[in-house]
Amino acid sequence: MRRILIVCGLTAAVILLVLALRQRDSSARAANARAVGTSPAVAAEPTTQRGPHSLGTNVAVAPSTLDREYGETRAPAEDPLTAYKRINQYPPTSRPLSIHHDLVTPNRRYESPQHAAKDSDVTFWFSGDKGTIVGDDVLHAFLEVRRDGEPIDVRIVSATADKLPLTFTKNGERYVNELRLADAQYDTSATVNVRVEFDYGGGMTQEASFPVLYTPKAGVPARFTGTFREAIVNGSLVIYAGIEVKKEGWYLIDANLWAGDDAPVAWTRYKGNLGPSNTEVPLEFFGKVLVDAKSPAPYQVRQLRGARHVENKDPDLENMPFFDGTYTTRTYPLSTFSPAEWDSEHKREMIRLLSEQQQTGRHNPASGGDPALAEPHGLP
Amino acid sequence: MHSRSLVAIVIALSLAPVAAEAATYNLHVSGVCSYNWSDSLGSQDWFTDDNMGFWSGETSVSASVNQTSSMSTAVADLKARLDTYCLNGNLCYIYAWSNGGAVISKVLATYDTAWNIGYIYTSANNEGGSELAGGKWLSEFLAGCSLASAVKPGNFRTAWNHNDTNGKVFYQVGGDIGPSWALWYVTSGLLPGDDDGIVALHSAGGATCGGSSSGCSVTNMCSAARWSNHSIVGTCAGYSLDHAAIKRKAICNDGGGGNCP
Repeated sequence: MRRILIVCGLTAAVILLVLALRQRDSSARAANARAVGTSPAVAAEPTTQRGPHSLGTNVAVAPSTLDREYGETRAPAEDPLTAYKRINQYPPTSRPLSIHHDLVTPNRRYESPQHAAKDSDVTFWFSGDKGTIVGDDVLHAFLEVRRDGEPIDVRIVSATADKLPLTFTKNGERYVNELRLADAQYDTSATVNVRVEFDYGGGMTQEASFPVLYTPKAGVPARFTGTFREAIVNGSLVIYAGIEVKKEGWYLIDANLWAGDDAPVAWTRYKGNLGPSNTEVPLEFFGKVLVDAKSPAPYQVRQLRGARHVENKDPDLENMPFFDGTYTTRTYPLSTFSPAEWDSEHKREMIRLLSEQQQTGRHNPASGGDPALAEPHGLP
Repeated sequence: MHSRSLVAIVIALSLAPVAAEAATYNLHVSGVCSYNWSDSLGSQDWFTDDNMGFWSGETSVSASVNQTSSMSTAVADLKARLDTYCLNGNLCYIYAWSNGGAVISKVLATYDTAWNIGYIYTSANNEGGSELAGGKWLSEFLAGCSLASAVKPGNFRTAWNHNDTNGKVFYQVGGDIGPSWALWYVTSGLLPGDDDGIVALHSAGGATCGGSSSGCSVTNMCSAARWSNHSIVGTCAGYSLDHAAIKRKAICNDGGGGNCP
């Protein structure tokens, strides 16, 4: 009975949204065709620079750079043993950086334009410039409404961040708000629902919302001090980033490495316990990743960010303030780094288990391949 | 000292049989609003086929994971299941449908435990979130739970490093229902690119949703830039299956038998 009701309800609504589907893709393409590039400086000796917050902007990555990544995400699919060996030539948390738009712009948002529920000619885009905010950070929220592709004026009926009332003002084609939660009553990290209801003419209203993870000053578990040192350890480059830890716990800390010619080189992720006695965190850039990238040093460490993970707490992350600076390493010849593949006891055990499985003929997702997978992006 | 020795002996004896009887487990992780593989509206037989499949000499397990309240609870639950089945010489394969793909992804990105996981095979992976979570659509279809409103791209894509799979391989199949499926026509209209009525291909295929032009509008999972270690199998454009029908596609494709959607 419930299924019949659902089918009837949806079928009745089909007529209202037929035109919405036809127009959706073109609107989305137009809205997404906005990107901003960055061009950081390069230094010959180790240096630390504080710079503009680069975590919320898009970075254009050249197509030739993107192709390299397909060595990590090959299609057609490989058998499990082959895929495991290829993937684990590098450590799980120190790997090549290329098409990882999510890592290059780690604090971006992902909302896209949508059609109004009651009028398929109207699209709205409600989003902001940051995915998460910490302490005094300001999130620039915006609402853009178009009819037949052209911007239109609307009346903001209500706008809130959880229970905090917000005011949106007209700025060009958009209605904007500088969302600052530092004065709100949060004493621990929270997922804040930013919501707006607007009237786009004739009493036709639409609601929109997006979530933002907020960590208040009182909830900040640790911060980067801005000090760095570096060392070559077992053929890998290790950057020791200075930290001040207020809350002991399980930390997840990420950073990207860029080449002297501004090419993406590597990403790294620290996963481990930290406490007040820890004054720095090791960020390992694996030797073979640097050798395979063939990118010139000095390198730059950027997009340094981190969080404390608290199991069974919702949200389970307490963010550290983003480090918006750049640390430039010493200059190294590529021969400094080891070309050896990553090795571990667990890796050897997994290869043994997968080899045994391969002999049984079971569990091979690649065996049922589809000719359609012969897509143009092969391995370099 | 004496009691410590006794404890050590007991522990050693209790672990020895486990190591000697190493097994292969196929863990099945269902979607949002579920506790197990075969419950919630999204898992009832009239809606989905919940046959977990059969591999000779191996054990299929419905992973007990609470996906009704928060991702943090779900992550803690699944971590506990992996600790139970995927250590001590055992080997696991993870079959995840819909939001189960997001939960296993976050577990692997958060912890560094050396679980013996052969691979993760997802059907309609919601790892990148569903735009429908912004409204009431997911609750309508999945009997309703508080987590249903939170499984959106804005929450999932920035909440963990999807490229850190703990060294594990992701195989993924997605669904694309096309323009003529009346049941899903309305919800499909709210999703970017192609979709199965609930989850868009950008999510099912592990796309990074970056760059300056394509964004999250994905119609070919193979040509989209993807998170590391996330492969596409079956078809690049997605199977002609809706979100319910694709639930056991990975199981079927992987030799688990039963009805093959």
